[in-house]
Amino acid sequence: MNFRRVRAILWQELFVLRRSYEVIADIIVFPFTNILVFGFISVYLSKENPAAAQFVITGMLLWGIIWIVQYSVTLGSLWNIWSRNLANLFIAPLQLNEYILAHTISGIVKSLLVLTINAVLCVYVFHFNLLSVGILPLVLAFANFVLFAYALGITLLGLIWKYGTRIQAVSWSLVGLIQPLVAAFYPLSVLPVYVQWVSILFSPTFVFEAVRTALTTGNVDWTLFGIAFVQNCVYCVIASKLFVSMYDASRDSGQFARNEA
Amino acid sequence: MPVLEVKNLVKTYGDFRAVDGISFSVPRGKIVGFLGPNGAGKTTTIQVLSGITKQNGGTISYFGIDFQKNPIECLQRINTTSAFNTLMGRITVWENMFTFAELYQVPHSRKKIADLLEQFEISSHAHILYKDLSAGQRTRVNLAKALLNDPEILLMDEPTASLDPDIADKTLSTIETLRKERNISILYTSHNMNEITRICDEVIFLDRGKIVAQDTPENLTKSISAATLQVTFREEIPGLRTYLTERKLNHSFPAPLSIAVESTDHDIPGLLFDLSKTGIWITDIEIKKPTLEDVFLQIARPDKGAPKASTI
Repeated sequence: MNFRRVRAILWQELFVLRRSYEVIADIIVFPFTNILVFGFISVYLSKENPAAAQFVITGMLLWGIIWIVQYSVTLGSLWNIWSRNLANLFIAPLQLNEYILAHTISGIVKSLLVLTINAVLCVYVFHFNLLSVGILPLVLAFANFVLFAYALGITLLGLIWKYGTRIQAVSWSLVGLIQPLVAAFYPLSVLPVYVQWVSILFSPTFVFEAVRTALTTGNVDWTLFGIAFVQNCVYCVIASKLFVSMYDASRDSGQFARNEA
Repeated sequence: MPVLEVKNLVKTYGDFRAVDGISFSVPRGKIVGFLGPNGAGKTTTIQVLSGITKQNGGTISYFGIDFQKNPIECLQRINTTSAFNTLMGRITVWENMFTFAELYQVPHSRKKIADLLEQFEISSHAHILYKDLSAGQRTRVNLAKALLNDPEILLMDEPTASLDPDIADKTLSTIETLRKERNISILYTSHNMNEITRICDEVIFLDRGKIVAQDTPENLTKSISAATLQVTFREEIPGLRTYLTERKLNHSFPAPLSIAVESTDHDIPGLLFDLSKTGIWITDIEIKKPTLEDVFLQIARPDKGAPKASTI
């Protein structure tokens, strides 16, 4: 692991980001408008059910972490594929772990930035303070969401490297399919029982439950965070192995060298 | 010790053998040309040699170091430029250069970038988006990027493809200068025979994944003794056709007052003397020697062979 090479990819990310209004729209404008929409929904709900209102707005704020980190890990590579520059990067002495680490760091920084902006907005516009969840539960939730998003991001990246840009739409769409299953905005018990069996396969389900517990009781549910963490560790190991095998398959089939827009 | 040594390299895609057991080496300071038609395996070989495609067999070593076992160490000392890869389009030339300078951990990277942009006369384009450059400017930026780490060997995959002749000529001159000034080794792929003849010390003919010939351009062309004598004359003499028929010489009339006779290098002076004795008034003489293209056709496509003049 060489940190100057990690920094090189971060520089490239910054250079691209400065001129990519689509990315700024995706990770800043759309989450911002989502917060506004869900914030007003929560204002409406708070008249009848203040707890539900808090769940909705907290869920929306925290969902952004998964979305941005996964998006960053996957899309960072697509910019290079669209420019036919991906092969150039790996002809240089860049290692896979350095490349992925750089995009994960980039995702973490972006998600922290967006989370902070949106949280401040919620304080002033909707009189909701995210810190009412508690610092420790927030840190635990953030770490777990990053791990989940990383595992999802590298799996999608591996698929794109292996099968080419014809499946690039998964970068944007897959995380949206998971959203209703992980009970981000409502308690897990709201979902039908047979859906709950699917939901518990996803670590964010436990994290969102733990965050709601912290919000209502002020307690840290170590069991829920623990289950999520163990699941995330398993996901990360499986995703890493899958990613490396898909990268190898891509190099073997020649797809990696052919990858282009 | 050669800078690059390849032994029995194999790359297959399913049942198709894109690279079929090739072996060669690139000595220090030499330009080795990879020549062959589309689909011969040139680009696949370059991709395998640069590590972005996996080989199925054989060994690659740079500077005596096993590439499979120590890819990062090797990649730090080599570089690649290809007509098929470009740099990031939506960032500037300088930003692209800086990204790669950091990847190669170039010391004093800002000065190095400035020097290279100056050398390739693209300093004024440093802050222009890469996608807004012309094809020729992009080629120069790609070359500048390829020299950031002072590579000991450059893998160049058809760097002049899609360039107009003037820019292609300038690119070739730059490559010649690079070799002279830096003693750099180059593996150069092209299907342009003239380019290869001009800049390469050694030529490897690839066809259907296999090496079909390997030598200096001069020796390869010498391997074909055939030459064509084309003579233009003022008016036709009846004795000329009789002479050609009697001598059973392969010949054709490319124009009413012009004749092309197939012969060998050695026989051309005698042939010219004999032709003049038939009484024709020669106004122009042209001797066509075999090119690398003729050599390639004779070796790889013996059924098509070296061109033969029709007999009248």
